[in-house]
Amino acid sequence: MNDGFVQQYPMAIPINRKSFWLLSGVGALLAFALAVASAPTDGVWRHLVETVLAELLWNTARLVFGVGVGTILLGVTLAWLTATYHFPGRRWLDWGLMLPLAIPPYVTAFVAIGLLDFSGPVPSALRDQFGVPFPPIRSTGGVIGVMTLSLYPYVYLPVRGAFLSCGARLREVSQSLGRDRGFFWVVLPIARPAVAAGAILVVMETLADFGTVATFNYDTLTTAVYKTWFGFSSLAAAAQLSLLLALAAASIILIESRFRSGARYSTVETAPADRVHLSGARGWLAAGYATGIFSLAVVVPVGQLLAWAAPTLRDEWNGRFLDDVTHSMLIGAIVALCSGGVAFSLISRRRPDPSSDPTGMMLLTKLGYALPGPVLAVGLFTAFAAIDTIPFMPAIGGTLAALVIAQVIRFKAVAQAPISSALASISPRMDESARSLGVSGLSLFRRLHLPLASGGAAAAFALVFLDVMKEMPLTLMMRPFGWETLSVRIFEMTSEGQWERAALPALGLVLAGSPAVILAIRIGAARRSGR
Amino acid sequence: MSVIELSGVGKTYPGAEAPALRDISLSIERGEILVLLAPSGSGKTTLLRLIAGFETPDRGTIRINGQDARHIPPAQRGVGVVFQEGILFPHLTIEENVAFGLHRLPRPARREKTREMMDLIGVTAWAARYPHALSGGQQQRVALARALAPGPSILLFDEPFSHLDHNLRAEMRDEVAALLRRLGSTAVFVTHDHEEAFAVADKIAVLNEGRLEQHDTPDVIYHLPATPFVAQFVGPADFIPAVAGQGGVTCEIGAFTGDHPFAEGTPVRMMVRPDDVDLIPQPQGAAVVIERQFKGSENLYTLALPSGHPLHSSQHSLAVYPVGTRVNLKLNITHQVLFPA
Repeated sequence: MNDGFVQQYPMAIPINRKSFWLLSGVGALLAFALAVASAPTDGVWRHLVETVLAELLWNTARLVFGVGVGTILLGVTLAWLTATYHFPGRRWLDWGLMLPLAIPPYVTAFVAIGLLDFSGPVPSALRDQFGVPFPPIRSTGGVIGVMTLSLYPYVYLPVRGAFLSCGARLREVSQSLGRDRGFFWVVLPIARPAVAAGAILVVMETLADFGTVATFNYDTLTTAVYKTWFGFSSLAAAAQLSLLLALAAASIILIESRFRSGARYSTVETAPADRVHLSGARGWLAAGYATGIFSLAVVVPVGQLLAWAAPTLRDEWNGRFLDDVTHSMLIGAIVALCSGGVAFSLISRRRPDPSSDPTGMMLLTKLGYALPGPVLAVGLFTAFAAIDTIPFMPAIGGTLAALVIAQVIRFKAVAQAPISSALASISPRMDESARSLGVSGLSLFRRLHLPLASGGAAAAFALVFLDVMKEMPLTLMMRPFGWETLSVRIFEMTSEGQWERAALPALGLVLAGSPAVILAIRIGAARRSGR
Repeated sequence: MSVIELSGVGKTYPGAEAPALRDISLSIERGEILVLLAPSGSGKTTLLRLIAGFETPDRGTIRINGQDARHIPPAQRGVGVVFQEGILFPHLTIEENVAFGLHRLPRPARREKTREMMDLIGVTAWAARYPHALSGGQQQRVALARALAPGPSILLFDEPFSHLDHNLRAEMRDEVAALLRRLGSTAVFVTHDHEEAFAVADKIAVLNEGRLEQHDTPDVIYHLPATPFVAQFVGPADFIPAVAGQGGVTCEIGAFTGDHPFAEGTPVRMMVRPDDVDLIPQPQGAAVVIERQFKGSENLYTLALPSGHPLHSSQHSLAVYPVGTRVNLKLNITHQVLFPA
C-alpha cells in the first residue's frame, strides 16, 4: 500500500558511479568553503577539543547506532506483521502505525520526561506502590528509546511497501521448495534495499536532530553547533563543528549510494499475497505488540498533551498562540510551494529522458537534506552576511526571505522524490503523442505533466509542509527577530522545563500536521493500487 | 511531390556500437501507404521517430513537404503518431483526448471537428468515458482519431496492432487501411509481420541491421526479392544450388530458362517458394517426403532432393502423402530469382 511513500523520501534518487564522483566533489567543495569560513580561530575550538569534543563524538555515535538498530527492529517487525498477517485491529493499525510522523520527536521527548522523570507520576507511583525504582529517563537509553518510537515509521513505511509488493507467487515458490513462508530466505532479502533506505533516513534525522537531544540535555555535535554559536558567540568554532557534521552527512550519502548501487532487484509484480489469519492467542499477541507500540508512540503523548493543555487552555489560548499557529502554517505553505515549484521545474525539464543522470543541482539538494539545520544556518548566515555587505542591496539576513531560502534548501529534496516518481510514471510516449499533436513547452507542462503528476505534487506539498512545521533549529536560528512559530515556542517552554505550557503549541503542531501525513499516505496508497 | 523525402539518413545512438540506421534514402508520395518491414531491432522504429522529430539524424536530410525538417520541432511538423499501445492521456475523457491537438481552433469549431472525427472512427459512443474503461482495440481507435483530428500531412503507426489478439488485429488493420485509402491519407506503418505489410502496403521498405534492403511494391518484394534476407523475411523460401548457364540455370531438379547477369558456369542459388513447387507421387520419384505439417488451409511438405537438400512444397489441405512417399516435382517458376552462391 505504501510503496509510493518509499519514493516520497529523498533517498529514492538513484546515484550511479558518475554522480558518486560528482557528489564527492561537492562534499569536498563544501568542506573547503567551511574551512575558509572558519579561518580565524579564537580559542573556543581549542577549548572544545580539549574538553568536550570526544564526548560529543561518542554521544553522537552511540545515539545514531542505537536509534538505527532500534528503528530497524521496530519497523521491520511491525511491517512484517501488518503486511503478512491478519489479526484483530490490523486494518486500523496499518496506517495508525504511520501517525508518529505527525508528532515531532521533541514533543514525544518532553512528554516522556514529564511522565518518567524521577519526580514524574510513573516513577513516583512505582516507588510508592511497589518499591520498584524506575530507570532514569534522562540517559542515553532514554533518548534512544524516545527517538526510536518517533522515527520507526521511516523504516516501517518503505519496508511494509516492499513486503506487500513481494507478491504471492514468490512466496508460493518459496513454500513449494520447503521454506515455510520464506521470511528470512526470500522476503527479507528482497526488502533489504528498503530497510537500508529507511535506516539511512533515520540516521540522517538522528544526526540532524536538535529538539529531542536539547530537551534531554544530551549533548551531540548538532546541539554543540547551536551552543557554541549562541552560547560562546563563536561563529568560527560553530563553523568548525559544522564541518565535522557536514563531512558525516556527505559520507552517509556516499555510503547510501554505494549500498544502493549494489542492491538492485528486478521487481516481480505479482498479485499480493493473501494475509494469513492469526487466530487465538497468537492473534492477540500480534495485536498487543502493535497496539502497544502505537500507544507508546501516539496515544500516550497525545493523551498527556491533552491532559496538560486542558487546565491551562484559558491562559494559553490567546493571540500569541494563534499568531504562532499562523506563522507555522504560513512558513510551511510558502516553503512547500517554493520547493514544489523548484523541484517540478528541475525535473520536468529533464524529460523525456527521466533515466538521465541526476544533475549536480539535484545532488546538492540531497546534501541539503542531509545537513543538520544548525550547520546549514551557520553556512547561510555567513553567506548572507557577505551578501549584505554589497551596497544598495536590500538586507537579507534576519528576514523572512532568509528563513524561506534556508528551509527550501533544507527540504527541497523531500519535494523532489514524489514529483520525480510521479513524472517518471508518465510514459515518454505520452510526451511524444502530445508533441506530435502540436503541444509543447509550457502548455505541455500545464496540460499533461501537471494534471498527471498532481498526486505527486500534493504529496510533495504535504511532506514539505509537515517537515517545515516540525523543523526547529533552522527556524530558531534564521527567523526574523521576535517572529515565533509553534516549534520555536515549544523550544522556549521546554528549555525552561515548562511542559504544561509547551503542550498547547505541541498539540497545535500535531493537529496541523496530521492531515498532511494522512494525505501523503493516501496518495502513496492510491499510487500503489494504480490510482 | 513527395510528402517525405529521406536522403542519406544515418543515426547512431550514443553508447551504441553499431549504427541504428545507415544511409537510408527513400520517399513517400502523397496518399501512399508505406510499410517499414523489418525484424526487431533493425531500426524501423528509429526511422519513424526521425520522421516524427523525436530523434534527430546524425547524417542526411529529411524533407517534409519539400522543407528541410531539421529545425522543425515535432509540435510543428504536422505528423500524427499512433503508438504500439494507445497511450491515451489517462486524465482526459475520450472526447477530450480526440480534441487534444485541436487547441488552436475556436471552441465551436473544435467541438464540431472532434465530433466529426469520433463519428468517422466510430468512437462516439465512448465520448464521456476515460481510457481505462476501454479495451486495447478501442483505445487504438481513439488514438487513431486523436492523431487524425488535426489533419496531419502524414500519419505514423508504430506496430499499432501488435498488442491486439489475432482476429481483432486482422479486422482492425483492414479497417484502418480502408479508412486511410478513403481519406487519401499518407501513412507510414512499422511492423515485423509480413502478412500485415502485404495487407496494407502500397509500397514496402525492408530494413535489415539499419540498412534499406529493398523498397518496392508488395508483389515485387515477394516475387523478386533483391537479397536473400528479403526473400526469407517476406515468406518461406528455399535456396537450391544451381549453375548459371546461357539464358538459364541448371540444378538437380531441372533446367530453367530466364535472363540473369551471371557469367556461364558461375555457381548460384535459386530461390524457390513452397507455392511454386507441385508434387506428383510416383514410385520412381526423385524426391522423398520426409515431413508433413498440417496447417489447416494447406499441407506443408518437407522433401529431400536426391542430394539430400531440403525443399518445401505447399499442397492442398486434403492432399495427404505419408512420410516416405516418393514424388516427382513440378516447378512453376515464372520469375527466376538467383543469388550468388
